[in-house]
Amino acid sequence: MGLSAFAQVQVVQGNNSSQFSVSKHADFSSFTTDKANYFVLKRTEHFEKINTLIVADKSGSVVTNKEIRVDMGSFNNQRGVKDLLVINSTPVVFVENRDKGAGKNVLTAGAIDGNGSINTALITIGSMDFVKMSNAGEWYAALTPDQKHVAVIGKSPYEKGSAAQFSYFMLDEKLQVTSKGIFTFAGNDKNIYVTNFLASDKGDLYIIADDFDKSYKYPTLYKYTIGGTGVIVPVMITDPKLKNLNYIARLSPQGDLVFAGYIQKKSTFSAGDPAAIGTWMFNSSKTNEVKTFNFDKPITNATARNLIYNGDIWFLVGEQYKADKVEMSASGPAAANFDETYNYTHGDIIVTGFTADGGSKKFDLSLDRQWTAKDFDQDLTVASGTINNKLVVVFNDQYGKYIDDRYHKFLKLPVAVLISNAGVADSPVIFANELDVKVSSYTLYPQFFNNDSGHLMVLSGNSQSIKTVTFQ
Amino acid sequence: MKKLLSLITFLMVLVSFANAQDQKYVDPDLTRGIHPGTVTTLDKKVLQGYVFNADHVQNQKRCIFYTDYNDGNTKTEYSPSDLVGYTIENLQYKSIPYSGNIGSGKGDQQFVYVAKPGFAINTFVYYTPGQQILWQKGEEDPVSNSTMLFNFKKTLLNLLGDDPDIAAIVNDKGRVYLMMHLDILVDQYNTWAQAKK
Repeated sequence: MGLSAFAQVQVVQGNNSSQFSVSKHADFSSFTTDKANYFVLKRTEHFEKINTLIVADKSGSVVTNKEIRVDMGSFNNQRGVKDLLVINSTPVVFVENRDKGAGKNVLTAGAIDGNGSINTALITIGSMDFVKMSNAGEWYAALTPDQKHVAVIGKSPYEKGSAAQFSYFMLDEKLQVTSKGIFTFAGNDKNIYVTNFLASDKGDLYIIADDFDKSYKYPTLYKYTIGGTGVIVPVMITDPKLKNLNYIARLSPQGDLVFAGYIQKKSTFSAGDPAAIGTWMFNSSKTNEVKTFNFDKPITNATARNLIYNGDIWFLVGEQYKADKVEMSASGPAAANFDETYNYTHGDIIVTGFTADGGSKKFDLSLDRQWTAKDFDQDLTVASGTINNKLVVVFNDQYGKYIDDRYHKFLKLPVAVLISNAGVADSPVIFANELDVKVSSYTLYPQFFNNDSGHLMVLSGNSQSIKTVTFQ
Repeated sequence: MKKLLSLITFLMVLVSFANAQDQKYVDPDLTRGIHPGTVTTLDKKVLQGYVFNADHVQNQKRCIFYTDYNDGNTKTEYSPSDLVGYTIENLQYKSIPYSGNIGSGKGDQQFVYVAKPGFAINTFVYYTPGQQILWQKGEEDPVSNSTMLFNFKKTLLNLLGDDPDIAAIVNDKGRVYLMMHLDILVDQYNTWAQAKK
């Protein structure tokens, strides 16, 4: 355990976990309750979706780290994990069962105990009829911000030439269905390829799907309010010369859906890395308004990572990020035995502040940084959150930028930067001594973080163990 | 001649028993050098500092501890009789009496690697440099192949027999089955002991 005595940001380390190693190419989600912080790492191996649940108590000790897996069944009777959510401090796994013989796709849910074991008495949530295993419908689950309800939607098996149809199930803390129904979207006559699903406390279900304008991708919001009707909102930038580059979406405290991302210039010919010329923002409470804001100069490979509201300001946190797939020398069936390998480049961290209504931009700022890596880059991303209502970004920077030491110049040095609502960044707080950077085998993994009021908990790891590092 | 043959046969049985367990634990993976660590003194005080990681075998013989890794004057070298145990990063070593798979009587104190911490029983790996596995319930004498050689079921019942389900398995099953499933039985015992708490 270590505390930096005079800095505005202090750091506390948790205990070493039992044996554990972080897998590469993992997706991530997190949950925070009064009792614990939950990290869910998601990966796919041999067609199996594997969720790893890491639970840290409020002192930072890792109390559970366990792979949550189910028996995959047989070819015509498949089971698989669809999602893992934490409902009022209880981790719950959602399991789909596609049974061709019965012609049913059934979604069940089961609580996970402190040892990481799934309660064998799974609760049935809903079912869909299907004919082909390859077109058996899809389930999606979302936790409401109050953490006491779960919205589940099922997209029925799609029939060519028809409109996509959904069923919904609202669940309480005990996973009991409190309301259910079906809905479609008037005006839609095609399939909807869901990329994200969120739900508000008010019963608004937000389905996000990506659509294409020639080669440019933009999100379309399909909003259904329980007891109301479905609304389709293409979130398109009005200026025909500008297009979305990438974006991120979050719920506002009012339960509206807010998008923010980067814009690029539309061109008939493009070469080199894509350059963002500014940012865009959209709030579902104002359906016809996609606001755009220009940067002073273009930023290549800008990638949105997080969208945070601190009660006054929306902060869009991004980074310059590029992943180049490495061509494999193996071909044919042999190639299937190899994991895909990437060369990664992580550049400057970019922060943009927007007013609470999203109507205007407050500031842009960038933090200088440059890393390259092969195959594993969970240590090169950026963690972000709020500490005492100030935005904090945490990342690994180069040791030699801060400390004159030729032998350790390229060590990864964890750094925290506080940013005010006016866009003023404090001097970086470095944790060379507190985290024993020169002799520690642990590396901070800013991809895996968890933020509650006043604390940003980030995982760190070596080849056999993990522990938490809490910035506060 | 007869005596010699008996001795050779006895040694062959001993060696085959010593190798009966093919269970392997993941070796510690930490670079040689100084890393953050702790030592626990005999009066149970935990001192934070830095510990030199040598190799699997050398780590069993001594612990080199620094309170400041930049200052060689802060170095202290501990033998297994000086400490309850020590840690280097996530690696735990505990001082326990052990003299190897074919030793007899109470063994010498060694820092032995805690391969699998358990609620009631810890699983240790001793490096020769090959792996030898042993178990210790609380602060009782550790159980190893040498202690199980002549009193196999009695030793297992002492280790695991508080749990009536496991006691029934130990009484019912043969030596080969029990040796092959010992790791699972220890896990089951730890779960039972934790639930009983």
